Amino acid sequence: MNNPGTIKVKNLSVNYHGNTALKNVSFSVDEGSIVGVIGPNGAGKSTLMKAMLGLERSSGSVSFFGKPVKSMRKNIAYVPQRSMIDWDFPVRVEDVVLMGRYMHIPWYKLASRKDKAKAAEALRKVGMEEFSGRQIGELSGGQQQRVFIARALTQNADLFFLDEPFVGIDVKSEEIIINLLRSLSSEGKTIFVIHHDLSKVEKYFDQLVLLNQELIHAGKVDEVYSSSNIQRAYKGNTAVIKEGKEMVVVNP
Amino acid sequence: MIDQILLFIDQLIRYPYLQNALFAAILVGVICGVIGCFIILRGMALMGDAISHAVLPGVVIAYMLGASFFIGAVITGVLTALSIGYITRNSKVKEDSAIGIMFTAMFALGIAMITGLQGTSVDLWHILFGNVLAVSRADLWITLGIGIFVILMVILFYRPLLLSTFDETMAKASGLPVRFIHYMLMLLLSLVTVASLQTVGIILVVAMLITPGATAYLLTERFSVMLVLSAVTGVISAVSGLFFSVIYDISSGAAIVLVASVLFAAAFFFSPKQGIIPRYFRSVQHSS
Repeated sequence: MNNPGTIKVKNLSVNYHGNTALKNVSFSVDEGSIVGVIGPNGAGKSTLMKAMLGLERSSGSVSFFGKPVKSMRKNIAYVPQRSMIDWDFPVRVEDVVLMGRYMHIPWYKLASRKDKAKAAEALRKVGMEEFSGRQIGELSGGQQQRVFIARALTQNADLFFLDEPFVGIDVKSEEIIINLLRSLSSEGKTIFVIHHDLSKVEKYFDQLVLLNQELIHAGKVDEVYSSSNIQRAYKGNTAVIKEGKEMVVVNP
Repeated sequence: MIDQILLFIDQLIRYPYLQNALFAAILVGVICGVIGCFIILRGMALMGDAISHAVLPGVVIAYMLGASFFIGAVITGVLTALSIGYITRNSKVKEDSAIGIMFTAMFALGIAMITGLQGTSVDLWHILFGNVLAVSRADLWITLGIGIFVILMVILFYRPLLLSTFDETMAKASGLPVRFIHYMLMLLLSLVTVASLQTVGIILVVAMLITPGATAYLLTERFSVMLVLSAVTGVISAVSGLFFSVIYDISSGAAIVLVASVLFAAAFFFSPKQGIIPRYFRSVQHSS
């Protein structure tokens, strides 16, 4: 039960001014897996992620490999939703990627050549090296997302939290990102991805956390991703089609 | 124009009070420009206005007690920032409303105290609108001290400040004390306000915080460059404002702010990348 190679969430609840955003969520996730956090709008997906990271007032407990989040901070890379970023901000692509090194550089030191080399390498991995001098607002959505993935890579983290990384991006960027996530997971990194597009769930993820304020089901993809579970999560917004294999259609 | 500049330089050499005024103006241009960049990028223009006004009761109390008004101003400035944060977190009142409530309350308290204490040496007009020619040597030293402290803090904590401004959630996730950084910035803002008190006055400090920063924002794509450009714009505004103030005998604060506004207008229309006019010509070229 107390396997250190897991991430455990126990009875996690979040309330906003008396409204329940997350109710008694418990699950555990294996090290090295890509975990999809799915559920309808307003299901508390981002809230769950923030509560796990200790950024939201919550009750319950979260442990990463037996340790609390506080002692793991440097080891956690976070990629925000694109809509959370001010794209007019005066920073260039290379500046953003270097931010991934900030927690490793002592406050009295400048970024070293090594840090910069790490940032450049991460940019190469996401295929964005030729854009390093551009202001971030000049890029397409997919390119912007790749830059933020590069920032997460330079951090050398063991845990990755990505909030809706595939929203509004091109096919090529999506492919680059998912391939990178797969290679990270094969290196033993654990990756949480908030995701809304159900069509690719089976292709992308090893484990799922299906959520609608309460936990609907969590575990291996084929256990969780069943029409009855999806219907329970999305309630009225679903229709089941049976054509050979059973399929669920969800209204956005 | 040349004659007037020569006259200004001549007076500058002759009168020590004018030299003090010039140094004070330069310092204020630099620190307002630098702190202003953070205010703009964090979307805290209203907060900047609030803290600068909220400094008033602190200044008055310090006068009454014979203490340094820098201390009084910092206490009421930071107290106001803390109360705004407290109200926002503990009620459904939104931040901009909380700011509006707190700063007008503090400002009103300051005015009530000044008017209740008629006959004292506190000159409301000078606190509100500045009187750069009254800057003493001692004031200048304090302003210099504040300037060095502010610049040093920004240089030392450049990375945490940048990250928490650009991506607050990542900053928090990576363990930066984001709330502490916010209040630290409010402390710096209070210090900058007091340092600018005599040069531009409480009412117009917000212009020196926002206008040079916004001008720099239109001219560059790098944060470090924006800080430098903003400081330079602040200094140009302050020095030329002082010049117009002396030559045409107008209020120094008003003259400085007007120059800053003209520089902003120039950047707004002519900035190579962001300016209205270059953008218009580019769109014409594209469509033809």
